[in-house]
Amino acid sequence: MIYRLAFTVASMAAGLAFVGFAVPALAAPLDVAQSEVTATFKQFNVPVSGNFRKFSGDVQYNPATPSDTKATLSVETASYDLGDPEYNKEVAGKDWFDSKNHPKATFLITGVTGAGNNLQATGDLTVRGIKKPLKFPVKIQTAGGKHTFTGKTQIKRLDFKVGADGEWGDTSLVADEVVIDFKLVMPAK
Amino acid sequence: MKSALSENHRYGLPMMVVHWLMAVGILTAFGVGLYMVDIPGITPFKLKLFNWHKWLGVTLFALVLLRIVVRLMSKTPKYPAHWGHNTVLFAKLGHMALYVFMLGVPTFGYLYSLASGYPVVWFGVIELPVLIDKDPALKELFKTLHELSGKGLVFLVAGHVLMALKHHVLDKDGILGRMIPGMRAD
Repeated sequence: MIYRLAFTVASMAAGLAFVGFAVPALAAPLDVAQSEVTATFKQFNVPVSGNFRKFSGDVQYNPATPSDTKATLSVETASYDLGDPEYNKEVAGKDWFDSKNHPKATFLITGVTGAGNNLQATGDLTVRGIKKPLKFPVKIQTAGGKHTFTGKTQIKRLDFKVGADGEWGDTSLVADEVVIDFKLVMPAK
Repeated sequence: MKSALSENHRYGLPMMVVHWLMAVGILTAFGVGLYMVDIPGITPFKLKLFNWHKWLGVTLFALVLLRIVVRLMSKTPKYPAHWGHNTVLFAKLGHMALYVFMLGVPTFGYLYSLASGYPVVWFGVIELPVLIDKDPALKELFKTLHELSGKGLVFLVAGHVLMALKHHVLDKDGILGRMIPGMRAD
C-alpha cells in the first residue's frame, strides 16, 4: 500500500516536473479569430486583396529560445474571399487553387534566425501539392497576454501552377507575384 | 457678314471635337458595360473588358471636365430667335441634365470599383486615388447608382438626338450645323 502510494506520488511528481519543463515548448493552437492570412495580387496592375476565411494551425514559441519557433498553418483554399461570389468560385476552380483536388494549402515556419527586431523565418509553402522553400522577415510581439507573429513574403503563383494554364498564364493580365501577409496570434501563458 | 453671323450660331471647334469624342465614348462604354456584365463567370476577356470600361469611364470624366472648362471659356451659340420660352427652358434643362449625368455616371462607377476593393489604375499605369475603402454595403449602393445613372444618361442622349433631329428635320432650324464641323448652320 505504502509502496503503491509512494509510486503514485513519485510518478505524479515526475509528471508535473515533465509538464512544467515541457510547457514552453508545446505547440499552442492559433487564436483563429484574431489571426489573418491575406494574399494580394495584381490584375492589370490593380492590386487586389483577399482573405482566407478558414484556416487552422498552431505555433510553438518560447521567448527564451526564438530559434526553436515552429508554426504550422493549414489554409482552406476554397475560403479565399475576394468579396464577390463569382471571383471566389473562379479562384477555387481547377485553373487556380483547384480546391476540389487540393483543399488545403500549408504554410510552415520551421525555424527563426536572428535576434530582436531582425528575425528571419525559414519555412515552406505547399500549394496544389507543390512545395517551395521560403525565407522572410518576421516580427514577434508579446502584449496583452498573447504572442503575435506578423510577416510578409512574396511568392510566384506560377511556381505553384496557380493559374498557369491557357490565357491565365499571361502575367500581363494577372501578375506572377503574390504577396502573402499573415498575422498569427497565440495566447501567451 | 453672313459668315460672321453663322459663326456666332455655331459651337467652336474644340467644343465640337469634345462633343463627338464623348458621344462615341459614352455609347462605347455603355455597350461594353452591358455586354461585359453578362459574360458568365470570370474570364481573361471579361477582366479586360472591365478594365477597358473603367479606363474609358475615367477618360470620359476627364473629357467632361475639360468640356466644362472649354464651354465656360468660349461663347455658347444663342438659341434660335424664334424658339419660345418653354423650348429654350426645356433645351437648357436637358443640356444641364446631360452634364450632371456625364459627371455622375463615371463618379458612381469609380466609387463602385473602390467599394468592391478594386482601385482604378488608368491604362494600367496611373494609380488613381483610393477615396473609399472596400465596403460591401457601399458596393451595392454604388453598383445600383452606376447602373441606373448609366441607363439614365443613355436615355438622355437618345432624347438629345431625337430633339436635335426634330428641330433640324421637322422645324428646319438648321440646328445640326451648330455641332457638326463643316455643316452649314443658319
